[in-house]
Amino acid sequence: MMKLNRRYRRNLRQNLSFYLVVSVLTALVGMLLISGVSTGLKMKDIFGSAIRRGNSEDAQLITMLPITDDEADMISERFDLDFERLNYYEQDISQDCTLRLLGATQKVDLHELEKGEDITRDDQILMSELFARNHDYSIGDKVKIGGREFTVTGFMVRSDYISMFKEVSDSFANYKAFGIAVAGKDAVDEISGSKSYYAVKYSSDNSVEFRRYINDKYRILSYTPSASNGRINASLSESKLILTVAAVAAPVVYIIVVLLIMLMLSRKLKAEQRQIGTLTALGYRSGEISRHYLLYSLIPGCIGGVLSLIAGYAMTFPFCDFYFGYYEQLGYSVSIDPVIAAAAVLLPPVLYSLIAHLSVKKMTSKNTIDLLKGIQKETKHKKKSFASKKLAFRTKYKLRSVTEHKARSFVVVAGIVVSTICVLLGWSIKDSVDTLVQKSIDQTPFEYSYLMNTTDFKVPDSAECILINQYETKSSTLVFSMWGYEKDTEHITMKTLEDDPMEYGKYYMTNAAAKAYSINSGDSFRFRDPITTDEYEIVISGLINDNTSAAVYTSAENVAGFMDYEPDMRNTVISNEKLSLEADSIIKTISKTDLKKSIEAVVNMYYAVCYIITVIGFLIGVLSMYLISGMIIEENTVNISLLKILGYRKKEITGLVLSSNTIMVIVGIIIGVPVTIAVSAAVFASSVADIGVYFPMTIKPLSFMITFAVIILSYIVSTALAGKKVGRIEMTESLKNNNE
Amino acid sequence: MIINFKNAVKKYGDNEENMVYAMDHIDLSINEGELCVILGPSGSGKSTLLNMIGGLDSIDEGELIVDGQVINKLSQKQITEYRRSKIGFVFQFFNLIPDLTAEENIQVVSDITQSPLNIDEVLETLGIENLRDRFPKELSGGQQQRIAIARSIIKNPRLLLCDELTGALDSKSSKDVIRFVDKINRTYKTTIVIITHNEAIKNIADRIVRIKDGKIISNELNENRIDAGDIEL
Repeated sequence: MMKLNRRYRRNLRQNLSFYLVVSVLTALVGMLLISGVSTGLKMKDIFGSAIRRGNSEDAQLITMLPITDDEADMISERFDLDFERLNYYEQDISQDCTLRLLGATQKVDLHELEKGEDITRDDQILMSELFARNHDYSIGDKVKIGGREFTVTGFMVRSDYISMFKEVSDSFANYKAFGIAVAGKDAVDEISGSKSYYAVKYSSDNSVEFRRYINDKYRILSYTPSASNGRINASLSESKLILTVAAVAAPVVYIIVVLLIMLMLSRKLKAEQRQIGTLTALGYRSGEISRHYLLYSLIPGCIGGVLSLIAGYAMTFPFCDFYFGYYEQLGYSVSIDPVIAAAAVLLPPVLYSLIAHLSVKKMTSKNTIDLLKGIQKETKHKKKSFASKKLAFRTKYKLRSVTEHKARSFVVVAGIVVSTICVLLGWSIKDSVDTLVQKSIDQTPFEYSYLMNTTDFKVPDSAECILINQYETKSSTLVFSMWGYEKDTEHITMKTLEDDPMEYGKYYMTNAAAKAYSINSGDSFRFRDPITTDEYEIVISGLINDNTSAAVYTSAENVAGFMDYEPDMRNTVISNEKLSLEADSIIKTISKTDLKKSIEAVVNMYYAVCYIITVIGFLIGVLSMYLISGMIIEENTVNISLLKILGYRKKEITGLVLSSNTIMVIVGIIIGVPVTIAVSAAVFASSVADIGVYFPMTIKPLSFMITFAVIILSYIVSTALAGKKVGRIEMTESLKNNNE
Repeated sequence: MIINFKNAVKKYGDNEENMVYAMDHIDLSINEGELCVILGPSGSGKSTLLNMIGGLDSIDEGELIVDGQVINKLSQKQITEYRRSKIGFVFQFFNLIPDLTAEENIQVVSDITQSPLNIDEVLETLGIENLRDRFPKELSGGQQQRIAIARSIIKNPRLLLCDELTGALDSKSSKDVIRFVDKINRTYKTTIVIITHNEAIKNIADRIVRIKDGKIISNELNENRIDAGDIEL
């Protein structure tokens, strides 16, 4: 066996490009898998830990009547939970930027010092580091807030502001527009215009009793569970999204590429059938022959596996930097998931060796004489020879090349499908987010909305009053808003998906909510008040084309009925202009412009992801097509040398031998498109249930064209590279044809 | 005797109408140490006969006994061991492994042999010691065939089976190859079976068998065996 094994070095040298490409391709897809999963898991771990360490709230509430700190302590003791008053003051530090100064907490939503010193005096603050960086604040700087001067002593992270959203219902952070700082609670209380709300952390399943008690005594105006609080939940949702993509798309790509390589290895071994026949005739046992050929597969498998581990680890750094960069600065050390890493390292050598073993076993079970003669058994299926067809011989040659080598054709198609998925997935994500920004945001029926803490307020003529409340369902953690509008509304004039106007008094659900709750037009919808836990059932008469918020629209009277309000009571003002309402009466302000800006910030993030995935898709396309083209040339060595003898030029030979792939490339793209759409849909479906934002699955014609161009380019590049092999084939190859 | 075919049959086809007999009730015995030449035209069944002896194929009816073993009753594993230990093969088109040198091609077999012959002696005997580090593509047909012969005898086989061993060679190379095979038979007393359509080769044989359409036409001992050096091909 020792002498036989001398073949390895020489054979590997002769086929260096093949083994190199197999190793690199294995490493590339392994790298994607390792870095994608590891990044998602790292995010889940880091954010989860921060939320736990900070004793992050289970819910936050706003009440009509204030609850003092002593009362809060008493409530904590009564219900055996952590209940605390949180206070804050908001200041516009520039035209486009708001700083929210939060009071330091003792029980819930604790802050964690990241750099510098913690606050010890009332004139000190800790700031969000990312916000500070975006606005050139450093430790030691003085900041004027609410007429008072504070010194920045350090940077911190608040566990209820992992995602720096201005509103809990926001979906995207924009550090240029909003940030937080923490000062002493008393210091914030002393600032005129500071506000309070409350946070609760349950230790037992008594939230219903707690909510009823608070509502009865203090009147809850809004109750937001943490599952609906984007500031706390968005980071976990993002990690879930990354894990979904990594767990869905990456394994699909990985498995297809590995299968592709396995097929090519088996075909390479098939070319050794004469050698195998000779060894069998010389007395080599099947196991000895199998062990000899095992190494040809084991070497690229091991190299690819190890390289994928190294590259995967290296790639996790920029991936983590990229994704963690959108959240508060929590310290983390990059590590890779050991299970995925082990799979990526071990699977290729195991699978490639398996295919080598099975291929050799299959061949040694065949008639040795046939192996020696290089005879391949006729299949039972009738071969399509196209002999009688009146087609040019080149066309017949190409057609036979496809139809009589089904396994090879499948391999070509599979490689292109994988490449298409990679490229088109990135562009579909970008297009879908683009569509969300351009179409959905513009459909928001107002520029500004103000949630009031009273139903008794004066409304300017240019504005409109509505009644809003939040509700939840038993089966989902997502909270939705119910909007009650006036009959003569000028703002709430959306149409249904069927382009019908809303009928006053009926119930209409946004598309985002419909996707999250799996509701169609005409369905019954059960929900409950998160404060009173009373349950209700309505019939959804139609769906509204709004993918950015989970909401139901109906008459104000209907909502008042659910809220046990008088029919004419309202709690929200909407307007197309900025209003000067009494600040003390405003709980929350939402601006469409702010929302659009923050979405645009994240769209840029998706552009970057899209370009990276396109490059990776291009590389996979080039490498897999190069392997396939090389394989085709090797299998046609005798034919190619004969064509040379007959006077064919290199370009003519390449065109004849490899051009049949063109059909397969087109087929691969056509198959890859619906597969990509399915994968994209799965990715987006997982996000709507968590964050209540539905990304409408969109692929623009330009994206299709770009994908097509990238795949064709990868095909051209790979064919050009593989075509060099044609030049190296000697004319004497056909003269040495040993077939009897 | 070392090889004994008893009423051996090998047939191809689904039914009697299209049945082709590659071996049609063959009875043949070859003695130990004999150099047997089997002659016949293309398609006569001589290659089939050789493949049966070498365990590469199996008869459908009858019996084949080689060196005391009933070959047609052996399992696949036993056949492999049989070929490994007792049979040397020389093919028409050499079947050398292209990415191994001449010496390494021989060592491929010596590696799996319990008591191989000395490789240097074998190379010297065949006059190819200066070719040991050359790859097959650097060698002529005659040189390749000599290496193939060296590979087949390195295990000192009980039987050397040669399938048209001069079929791909020019006359001079053919003569050289025949000379070596003759020498092996005389020196090592190896039983050799050569199948060929070249009538001239029969002159070095101890036994001449003629086969046609799967049937043995004649089976004669050659009283006038000549030295391979005197052969005219």
